[in-house]
Amino acid sequence: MTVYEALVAVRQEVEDFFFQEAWLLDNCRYEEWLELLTDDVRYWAPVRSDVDRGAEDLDNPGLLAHYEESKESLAIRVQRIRTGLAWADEPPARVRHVVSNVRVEGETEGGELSVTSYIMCFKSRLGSERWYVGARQDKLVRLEGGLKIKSRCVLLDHNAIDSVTIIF
Amino acid sequence: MRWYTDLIFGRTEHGVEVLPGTHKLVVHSNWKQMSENLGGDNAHVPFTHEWMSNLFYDSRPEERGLNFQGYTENGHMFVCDLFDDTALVGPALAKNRAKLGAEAAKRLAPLQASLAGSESATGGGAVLIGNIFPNFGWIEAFGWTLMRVMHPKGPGLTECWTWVVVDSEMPEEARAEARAQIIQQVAPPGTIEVDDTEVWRQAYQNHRAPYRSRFPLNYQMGRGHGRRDDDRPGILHDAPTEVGAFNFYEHWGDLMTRYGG
Repeated sequence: MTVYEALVAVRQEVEDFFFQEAWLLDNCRYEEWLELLTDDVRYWAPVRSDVDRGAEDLDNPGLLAHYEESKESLAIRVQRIRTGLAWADEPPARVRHVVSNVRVEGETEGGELSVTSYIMCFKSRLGSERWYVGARQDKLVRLEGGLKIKSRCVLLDHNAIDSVTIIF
Repeated sequence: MRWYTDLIFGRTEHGVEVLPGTHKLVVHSNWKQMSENLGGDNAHVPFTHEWMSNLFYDSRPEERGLNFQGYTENGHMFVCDLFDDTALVGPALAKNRAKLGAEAAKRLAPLQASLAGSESATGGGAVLIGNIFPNFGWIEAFGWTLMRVMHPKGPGLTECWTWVVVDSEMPEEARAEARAQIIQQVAPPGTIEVDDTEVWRQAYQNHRAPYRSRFPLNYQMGRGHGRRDDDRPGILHDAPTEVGAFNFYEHWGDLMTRYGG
């Protein structure tokens, strides 16, 4: 296997993982999706702002975010939907995750992958249709059951955003 | 109204600051609906947020303290609801609230101090909500505080900007708790906020329906009620009540028609 072929193989492995993840989310198999996360996962989506070039400080850990989640808080979101009483998700939306532009930026000796990807999510519900667009910066690790998400930073391209319950 | 804003913005000598970043939420409804919600919408809690009671508690706590709401003639509204919420407060925020209570006791009247903080890290605390007419409001609950402005963006469209408010000397650990809890609960995708925005959107849509306009709505219950007390300003009513919302709309209607509009 050439170096290039090895790189392609890793990217394909990651893409297959993302496609499976999107399929689980779009088919409301949230409990199975939770199993794709490490127990110490950090999932967050910092707010965006229209400021001077270079002035956006997305690495500031205190910056406000649309999501700041642990595995426990994500599990509460899943339980919330399962009560059947979460009115923003009853009836459920039709959601389609389109994941593309997957780039494996690097792999540490411990097998941790740094991956960026683009995401477009279509949501249709009760007569309204919306697109959500953004990029994801993931840290993936290889555990016994396959790849797991150790951290995910979602950079939404929206400044103001409407009520959304999508996991990106 | 200062008596009520001091509960949050004037309870310590050093004052407050906001954390970096702004939540910008697009709401598909009239700005007044969001503002009114900050005047004490008791009835919506067990229904709009029903999933929470199903998941976290069977009913609201039975041990309740002072629980009143009210308004001023020029349209402002306030809610003060003191109860034992210790099961819902983060440990660092509970500790911080005891500190705020001690500071408030030095600067404010005893009744104010009991609302602005707790006597100990294990004591209960107040839910404080308010709206300065027309569209600037705040929510303090479970030890965290936010303030927000409801910008009208045209008919049926509002953009709400929200900031996380912290005491200027709040320890890092408590700031992190406040930030995470506000994000998880009341950010645009927050588990509580999405309930409200969904109901506002659908309520607004239904109110515009031609069929709806064939039937008058009843705005009788509790309207014009309220009392005055010596120890706090405003026209007051024990919860549950909607006196604040009635006055909010009456004041707005008065301003809209005063000059022959």
